[in-house]
Amino acid sequence: MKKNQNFQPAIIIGLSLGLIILALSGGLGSISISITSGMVDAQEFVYSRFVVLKEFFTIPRDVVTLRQRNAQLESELARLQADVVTLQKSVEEGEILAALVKYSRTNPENTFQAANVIGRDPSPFLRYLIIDKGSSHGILKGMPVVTEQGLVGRVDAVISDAARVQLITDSASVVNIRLDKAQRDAVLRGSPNGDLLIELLSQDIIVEPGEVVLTSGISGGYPSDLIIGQIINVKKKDSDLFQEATVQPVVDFRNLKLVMVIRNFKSIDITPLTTGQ
Amino acid sequence: MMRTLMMAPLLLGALILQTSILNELQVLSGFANLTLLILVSWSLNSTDRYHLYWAVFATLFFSYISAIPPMIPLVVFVGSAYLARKVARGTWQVPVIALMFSILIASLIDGAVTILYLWFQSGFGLDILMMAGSVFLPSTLLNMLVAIPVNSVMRDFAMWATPQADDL
Repeated sequence: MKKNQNFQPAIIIGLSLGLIILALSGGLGSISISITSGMVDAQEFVYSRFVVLKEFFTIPRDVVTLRQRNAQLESELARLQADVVTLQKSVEEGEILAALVKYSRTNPENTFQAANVIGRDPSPFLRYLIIDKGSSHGILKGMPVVTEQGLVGRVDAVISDAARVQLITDSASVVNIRLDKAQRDAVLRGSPNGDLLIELLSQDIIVEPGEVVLTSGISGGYPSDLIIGQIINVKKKDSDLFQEATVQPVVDFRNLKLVMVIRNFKSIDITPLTTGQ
Repeated sequence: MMRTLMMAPLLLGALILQTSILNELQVLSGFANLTLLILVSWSLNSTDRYHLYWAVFATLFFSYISAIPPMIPLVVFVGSAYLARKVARGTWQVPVIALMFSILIASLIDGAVTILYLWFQSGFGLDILMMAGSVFLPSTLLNMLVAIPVNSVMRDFAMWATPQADDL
């Protein structure tokens, strides 16, 4: 028995050396592949279970961290979104202001006062704007109000820091106009639904859709040659004394934000002349 | 009751909301009249004996901002508040019907008085049917839609300001 034990190390070393020599010489190819693949599978099995265990213990801590980070990022996102909205508004206002400045430069004969639109008439039957500039800024009743696109209306009432502007689309608004191509005068009226109608247009005038409508300056209510819009529709009946036309205004009255008041225009009140008739 | 004085800032706030936000939310050319809705809801839900004074108060501020002559909102607001109180006393068991009926009548008074005024002012030249179709009907519809949440808020407010409101 003891004799056999003395040979054991020699046998083990011999077997090991033999296996190494066989492995190096490629003699153990198929056996080594099956052995290593088994080891890889075992390694994979053990590691995957370890990862599961590791996650089981570490994920709760990560959730807390992630939630904190998420809340941080959400607040940052909300702040950035608010910044984007503010900047977009500034850009929009800047663009409008640039257009108004350009318009005032192309009309150096007029003195303008820019004003923000801060409200509208509380009655749905009337079409008035409320602006944030008043008599303390030199605004007086009757002054025309424009944008870079065209005529908006005129100042109807003033207090120190605000004014009410009657739009040309209001049903009580009357503007004396001139048809640019036909070179004829007529009267433009507003209506409760915001349409602009040309009345008292003689039957002999040839009016076509697309014709530009300007202020005539007659009656002294508005300066001449302010753009109002284009004719989009003509109603002509042989039985009527006058023909009628509908005008598409150049100004988008629903989205007015900034307007300009022409300060150096003094409207002429002809009411005493008309009431005596 | 001192609490009923809170109606003053409430009416002013409503008027500011109406001129700045509500009139941007249009259906055709009509929008809801929040001041009228608050007055009607207050008259329906509160036991305040001075509800007509609030109608006069609302008229003062409404006509200060609006280009419409003061007589028009005075007739509309006082008439609507008076009728709403009458309706509340007559049909207290069905508050929703009372609300809808009062709002409908108030909108009718508002539309009729204003359209008549504008018609006279224009020398009978305005198309009344067009005004009714594009302004009056959409405004009435919006008034009835907005009346439901406004009435809920005003009912709570009325119960806080005039605690006997439940006895009405």
